[in-house]
Amino acid sequence: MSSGAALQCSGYPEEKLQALTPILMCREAQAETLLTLMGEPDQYSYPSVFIYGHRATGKSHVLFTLLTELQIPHAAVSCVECVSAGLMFEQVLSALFGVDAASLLPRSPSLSDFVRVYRQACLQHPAQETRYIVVEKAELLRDMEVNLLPALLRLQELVDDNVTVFLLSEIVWEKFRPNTGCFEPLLLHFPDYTKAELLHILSRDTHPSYTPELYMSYINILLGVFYSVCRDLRELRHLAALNFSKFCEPLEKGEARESDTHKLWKNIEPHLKKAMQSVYLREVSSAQWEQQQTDEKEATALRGLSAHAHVELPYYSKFLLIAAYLASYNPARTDRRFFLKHHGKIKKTNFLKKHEKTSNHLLGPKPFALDRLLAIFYSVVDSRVAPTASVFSQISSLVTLQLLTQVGHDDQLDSPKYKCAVSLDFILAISRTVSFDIVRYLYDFL
Amino acid sequence: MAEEEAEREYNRREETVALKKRFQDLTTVLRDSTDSAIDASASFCHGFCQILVEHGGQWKSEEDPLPLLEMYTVAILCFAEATPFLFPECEHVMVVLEKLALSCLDFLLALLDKIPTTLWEEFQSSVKVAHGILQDNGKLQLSILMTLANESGVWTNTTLCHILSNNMPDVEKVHELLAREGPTLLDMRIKHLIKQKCVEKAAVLAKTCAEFPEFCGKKNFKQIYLVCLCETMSQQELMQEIKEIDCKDALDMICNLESEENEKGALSLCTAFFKRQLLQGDVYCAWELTLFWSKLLIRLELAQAFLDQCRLLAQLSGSVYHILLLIKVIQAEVQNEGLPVCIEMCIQALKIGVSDNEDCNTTICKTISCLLPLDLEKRKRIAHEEDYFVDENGDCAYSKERFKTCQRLWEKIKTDTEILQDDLNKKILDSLLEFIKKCSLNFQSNVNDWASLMRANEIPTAALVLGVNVPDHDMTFQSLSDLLQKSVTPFAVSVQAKECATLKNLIQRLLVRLMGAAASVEDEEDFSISLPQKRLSCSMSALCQWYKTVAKKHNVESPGKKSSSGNSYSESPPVLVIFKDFEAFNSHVLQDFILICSRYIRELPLIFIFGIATSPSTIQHMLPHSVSSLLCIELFQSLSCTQHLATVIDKLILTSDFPFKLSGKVIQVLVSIFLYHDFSVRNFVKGMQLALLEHFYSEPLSVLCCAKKESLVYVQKLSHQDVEMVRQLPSFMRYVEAQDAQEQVQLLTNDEHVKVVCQRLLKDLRNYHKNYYPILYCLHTLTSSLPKYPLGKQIRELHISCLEKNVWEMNEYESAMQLLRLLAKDELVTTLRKCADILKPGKTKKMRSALQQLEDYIVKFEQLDSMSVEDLNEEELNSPGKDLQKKTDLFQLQKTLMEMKSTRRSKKMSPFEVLRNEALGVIDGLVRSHLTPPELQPLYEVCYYSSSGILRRHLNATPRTSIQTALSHPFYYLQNVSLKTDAGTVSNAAPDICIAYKLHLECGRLINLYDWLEAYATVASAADGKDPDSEEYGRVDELKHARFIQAVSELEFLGFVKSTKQKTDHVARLTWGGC
Repeated sequence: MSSGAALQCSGYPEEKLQALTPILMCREAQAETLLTLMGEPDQYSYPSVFIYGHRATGKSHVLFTLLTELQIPHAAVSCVECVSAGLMFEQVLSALFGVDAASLLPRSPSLSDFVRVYRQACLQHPAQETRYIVVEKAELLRDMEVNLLPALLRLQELVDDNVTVFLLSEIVWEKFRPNTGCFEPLLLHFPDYTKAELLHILSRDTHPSYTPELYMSYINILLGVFYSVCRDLRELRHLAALNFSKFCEPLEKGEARESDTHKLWKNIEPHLKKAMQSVYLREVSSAQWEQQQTDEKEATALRGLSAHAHVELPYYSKFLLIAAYLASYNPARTDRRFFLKHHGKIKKTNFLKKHEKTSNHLLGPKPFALDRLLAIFYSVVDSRVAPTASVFSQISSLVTLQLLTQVGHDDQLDSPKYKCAVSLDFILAISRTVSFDIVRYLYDFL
Repeated sequence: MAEEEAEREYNRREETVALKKRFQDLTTVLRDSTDSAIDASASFCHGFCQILVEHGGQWKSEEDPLPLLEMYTVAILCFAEATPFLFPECEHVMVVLEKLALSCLDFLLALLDKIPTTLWEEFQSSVKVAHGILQDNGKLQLSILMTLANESGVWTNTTLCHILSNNMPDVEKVHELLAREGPTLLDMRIKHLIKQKCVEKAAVLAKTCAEFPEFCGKKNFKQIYLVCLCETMSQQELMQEIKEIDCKDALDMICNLESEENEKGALSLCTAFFKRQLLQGDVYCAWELTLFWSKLLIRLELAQAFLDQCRLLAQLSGSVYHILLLIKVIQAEVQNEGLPVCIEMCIQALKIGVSDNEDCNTTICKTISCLLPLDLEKRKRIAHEEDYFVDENGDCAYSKERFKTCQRLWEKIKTDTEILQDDLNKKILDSLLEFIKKCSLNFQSNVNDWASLMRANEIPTAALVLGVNVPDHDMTFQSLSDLLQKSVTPFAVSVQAKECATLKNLIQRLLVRLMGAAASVEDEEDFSISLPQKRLSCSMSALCQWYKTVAKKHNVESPGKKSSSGNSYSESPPVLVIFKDFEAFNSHVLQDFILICSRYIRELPLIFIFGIATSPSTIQHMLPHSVSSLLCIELFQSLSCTQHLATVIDKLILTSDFPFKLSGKVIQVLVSIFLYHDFSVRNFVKGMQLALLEHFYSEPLSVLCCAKKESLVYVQKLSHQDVEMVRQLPSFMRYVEAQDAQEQVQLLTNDEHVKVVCQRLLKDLRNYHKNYYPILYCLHTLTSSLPKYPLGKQIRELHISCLEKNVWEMNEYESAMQLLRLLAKDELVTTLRKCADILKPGKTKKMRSALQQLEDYIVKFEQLDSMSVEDLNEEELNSPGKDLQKKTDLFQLQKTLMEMKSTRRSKKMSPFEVLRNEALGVIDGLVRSHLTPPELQPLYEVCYYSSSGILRRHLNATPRTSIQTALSHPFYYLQNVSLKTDAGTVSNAAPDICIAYKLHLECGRLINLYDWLEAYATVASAADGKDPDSEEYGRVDELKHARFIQAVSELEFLGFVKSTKQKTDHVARLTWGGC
């Protein structure tokens, strides 16, 4: 995977393009396309370009490298940061024309304000070369004002300036297209890196005190373990950094030489497997993971986040949760069978409608009314409970703890509806603490 | 003398000649001037004025006016002579001429002495000449002077004299005079009169002028007249005079006066009109008048005088509207100072308002509530609290003392629990602090290491698991942020979910709090950096910018500062964001926020703290992997709340330090609320506070519930009434019954004797507590290691059972003792040692002897080790096991077993067993003597609070039950005798809603509204006392219909019925069951 011919584009200094080639490794084709699209500095470019591809496929990297290294005027905004469109306008204007232009914007500016100010600023600083606006995480544009995306797509027309908008996103253009139709941008796809490409890129981060070959072989082992679950370059690089010291341990201790690849592999393989289950999932924090490597002894002591699933709850809260679980996973028609003393014998097959025959646990929790919850609660709790205010407040605190979720609107006073949001394992653990055999009450397990 | 006179005369002449010469020189210069006409005229005017000023300055007009008159004469003449050479359109010329005329006029009017005839004639002639010249040049400025010069003197006109002496001459003559003199001259005359304090004369003249039709609208004679009137006339006449004048005109006049800077005049005029309006109760232009009046008055007077005036006027007022306006201006002008006056006025207004209408009163009440500042209300309430305590128990003299004791005890409870909480949190907070310090060090040193270069930049995050007792978290977070601010960083911000509904809100909060914090940290320095210059754009990049400037400043200053202020912050202090209730946050907001933060982590050292109530796995539920991979999460688990409660109970309840005690039932209520409902230690302590308050409030003898010395003093001070109360205490009555007859008589008749006995009994009670708790702990240590915890796992359970009955009579105690008798030696010895440790701090005699006994036994057990093992062998030989096998018959077997059991008892035991039984016997004895329930102690009511029902009602309210009680038994709440009925029925006099409720209980799931209405109408007619046989009876009239509909809609509101579409004209019941 040696780098192909150097990038070429007229209008930019040759040596600079030459220097860019190693930085844009494995993305030469895309860089080439981009450069062709951009054309010579003073030429008008296509109004809008939509670049998509998965996380860490080099979209921003390639684009920003080109823009900064070739010293092309551009503005970069990330939609996640722009809580309002105004913020985006401000950033664009101040990046392209300086802070003065941005200060011309009124409070909570509209799109037309932006266009007006842009035109004003443009008159003062007429374009010598194409200006670029790069919008990252463009998928969030869809949640902002409806006119924003179509306007950005044809900004060149609106402001009458040599400007091109790049939209970067992880999802495909089809999911963007508004109902009313819009200007179609050019689409440019960044495919995922292949394994060979990943290997190539990752092995460039050689540790200064070891040979590149050793690092290459380490990366090879790492990819062997992680490639099946993770192709995120950023994450892989992170993991490589975290585990490299462990890989070098035999070398440090003098137990192995760099050529003993098998020995090294034997040493690191189980460790990486463990990393995949813990630090990769952020069960254990990276700092803790590194700490663990240095002092080997308490390696087993660390427990992941999900190991602490146990929740202590007040007695009635437990029963309320159990009642909620039952209400969510049992069909309402079966309540009589479970909670009435003298229920008739009900045959499962005839009794239920067809769709109720499938496992309710597969379908997920169903909403239930407060009345039903309380009725079940009073029948499962063993003592007589007064309907005190604190019982009701416990329901709402269960909602804030996200163990229950309220369905419908928050301010619905009249018979609110809830869903139970805990798993079967969780509820089993809870009912065990109050010695309540919940399985006997679940229709699915009858 | 005459010589002197002559000399002066000569001097004057000389001066006059010199003056003439100067003017002539000036004129010559003008005539010969080669400059343009305008410039020459201007320079002439300038020179002319200068000469006049220089010359006039030599004499004082008051002392010797004649030289000045001479000067004016000369000046006028000279100017007139120069006129032909002057450029006619030059504005300076006009101005100088006009001024000259007016000042001359002014001067003449001010002359009181008679002017020498020669001088006057000279003046007359020169004015005439000058006027003649000027008139030829088309200038009329001197015409007024001319008018005056035609007279024989300034004030000598006969008609004028008549007018001034209020001796009205003919109208024609007057008119002729007025027409001749013209408004300007007359105006000046009036002003001079006022200046010379001849106000009445001025008034007359002004009135005459005002009435002269030709002057209409000129010079405001009316206004001057009124001002004069205000100064001279009495209130009533004034009112009479100004009766006719429109307020709008009056306002104009006031404005005019004000603009002429005659504030006094304006004020007096304004006051007059304001008074008029007040007296007439007229609200026309009232606000303008009030406002003008207040503004003018506050300029001239001090605040106090202002308030006095206001009060006076308010008393005059007959309408609430005026008073409200006055209050408004007082508020505007003097604010808080005027509060008492305002309130006074409100009261007055209320008095007036009573006769007016309802709306008015509400307005006034609202005004009062707005006026009263918040802190005043608070002050009132605090004072009220104590009063409440005192008033309700007026019969007892010690309410104040009780209140104080109560407050003191509560303070102690509060501080104790706070200290306790800090201690408990110490460990987790310390580890958290260490984590944060480590992270902030990492931020500073993460530059060059290979691994950290390669590593993704994660945001350090502490997941703080605090348990579901959310009310307790506040205190923890408070101490956490205090600690952080003290030792790590000034930039610690906590955010709550409810204030961060959107990402924008979250960032806004963050920015405001951080930048605000920085401003307060660096108070002494200039604000300009920490406060954003232009409007704050709410973005993280703004925060980043801000942080850079602040950190830079911090660094520059820190070397010098570190030594002086002891600021222990590191070079770039991290920015801490505490999410108090992580679960309640909107997950999208959090995700976006973390994404944004991760973009800035290189520049902005951020650290997050998540306050988690449930379990750390919620992080994974809320954040997807792509977001959680940006965090470096470390877990911190706090102490469980049950442990926390146990320590609180240890510290507050199971101790003899607090004189105040809770009975078993009360503890049970509090503990069950804790365990069943909320897990909140804070609420538990609040419950204790309520019990404390209730005890001291409701029990008069609780005055004795305090430290030993004080209580003894209070016993001495008890009145006869109080002693009677003591006698009525059940525990004291029991005590009396147990005494012999003579003592009984003494106790029931002699107050002093009772006091002495009380003192003794109180001491006994204290000793009882001192013995009770150590023994309780001993018993708990012994039994808590037993299988299945026969006496409870927690000491509070043992405590509750001890409080309620004799613990040794319980079956559980029996079984526990049996289990204890089976304990192995080393186990027994270790628990006994623990017991001895518990007893060691005990100070009473009994405790010390108990300790001695226990220690003896421990020694004896240890000595057993050295004894031979033979005894044990012997025992084994005697074991009857082998006999068993022979028996096959079931009955026989049982019999043998019974025998064996009895023989084993009698059989000789090993020395260990003997010793063990003895030791346990001692323990049992201790339990029996010290763990008696407190009810048996005389005077226990003084210390123990036992009304668990009240506590339960207050802490664990049952709104639904209350509503049902109110509806089915209205008497319970209304306490109206006519509503009192047998159980299950409702009187027909009950409120409509109760009747409707009762009737709806008899229905099924769907209720026919018409049937319901009929039934209701029947009951309601019965209530009206109608004859059951009459036709009217049970008929539905409009009123009943309306009442019924109201009752039904109330029931709907309370959630008993709801409208349904299943059946027309029906409503659905929402409750089950009938009557």
